[in-house]
Amino acid sequence: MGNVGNLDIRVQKAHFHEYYDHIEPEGAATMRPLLHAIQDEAFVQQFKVGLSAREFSTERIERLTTLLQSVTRAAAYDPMTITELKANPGRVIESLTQSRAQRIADGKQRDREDVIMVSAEDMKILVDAILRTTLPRYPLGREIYKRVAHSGAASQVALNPPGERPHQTPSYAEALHGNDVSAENERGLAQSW
Amino acid sequence: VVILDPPTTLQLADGNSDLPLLRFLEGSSEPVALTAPGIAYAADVIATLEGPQRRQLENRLREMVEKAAPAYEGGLFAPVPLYHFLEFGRAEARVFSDLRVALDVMGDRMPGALSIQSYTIANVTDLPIVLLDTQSAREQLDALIQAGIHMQTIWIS
Repeated sequence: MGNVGNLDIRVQKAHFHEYYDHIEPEGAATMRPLLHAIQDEAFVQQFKVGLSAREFSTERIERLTTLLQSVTRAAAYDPMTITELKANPGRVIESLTQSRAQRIADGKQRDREDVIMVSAEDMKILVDAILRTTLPRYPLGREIYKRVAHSGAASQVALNPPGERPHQTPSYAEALHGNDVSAENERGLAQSW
Repeated sequence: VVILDPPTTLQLADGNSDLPLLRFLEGSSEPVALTAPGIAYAADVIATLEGPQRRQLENRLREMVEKAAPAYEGGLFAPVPLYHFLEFGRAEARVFSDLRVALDVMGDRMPGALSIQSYTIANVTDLPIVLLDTQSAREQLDALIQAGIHMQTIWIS
């Protein structure tokens, strides 16, 4: 029975390669430019600077870089079949836990969309990165203080900010026909300092 | 997030560590929001100065404006904003007159248009506004409260 099973796998693999030698996995070609970009040293450097500015740790930056490249590579190249996955699932899982994403295709149902597997920990890191990088992260007051505070002399205007002239609402008639007095009040400050 | 009113925006542009706003920021765990009227006030006051002090404050204010971003901007390659930036927009324009009418009781001590606009932004966004603790500012807030207009405030001195 074992030999029959192995033979079955070999046959299916042969069929799979024959199929993918002629037909690109869906979406793979469109991933190639992205793969080139994410492998480009300048892009990678910019990517790392962007993560660093959002206070990701060095370790997390390296893992995200590896992970992004791995997911993109998996999406761009030939998938593993379900049969191959079944043949040695432990090895596949071991590979996934080393941040190597894996594209899986159902060779028996060509119209079924391929999937990409990553480890649970990598998925958690990806989701965290997406949330942290798509939302702006604003520094806290104390961080702003460290950035802008100085011990030089304060300006008099900052020590005693001048009051504005009291706002004066024009009458309806003034608003319709124009009145320089109200316009002046809008512009100027109440007093000099 | 805390909103700076016009005078505290001017103090941030100055940056002297002894100013009330800077002392407040030193111990604050809140991001800071600048407002369009606050920036306009600070720029207006700075424009009245002369010499190197004016240039220094103009440069600092320019950097503040450049480092401020509307809340919707994000993404890995977007510049990291230092401040929120709140506009005086459509919602504020609709309620401005409510606040102005509430402040009518102050008569000649009515705040200026830019201050009322800042209060309006704080009212619409329901974010706390940082105010210098002065008698006139207290009176203004009392007038708004008496009219039933809610505003969260942080008093600094």
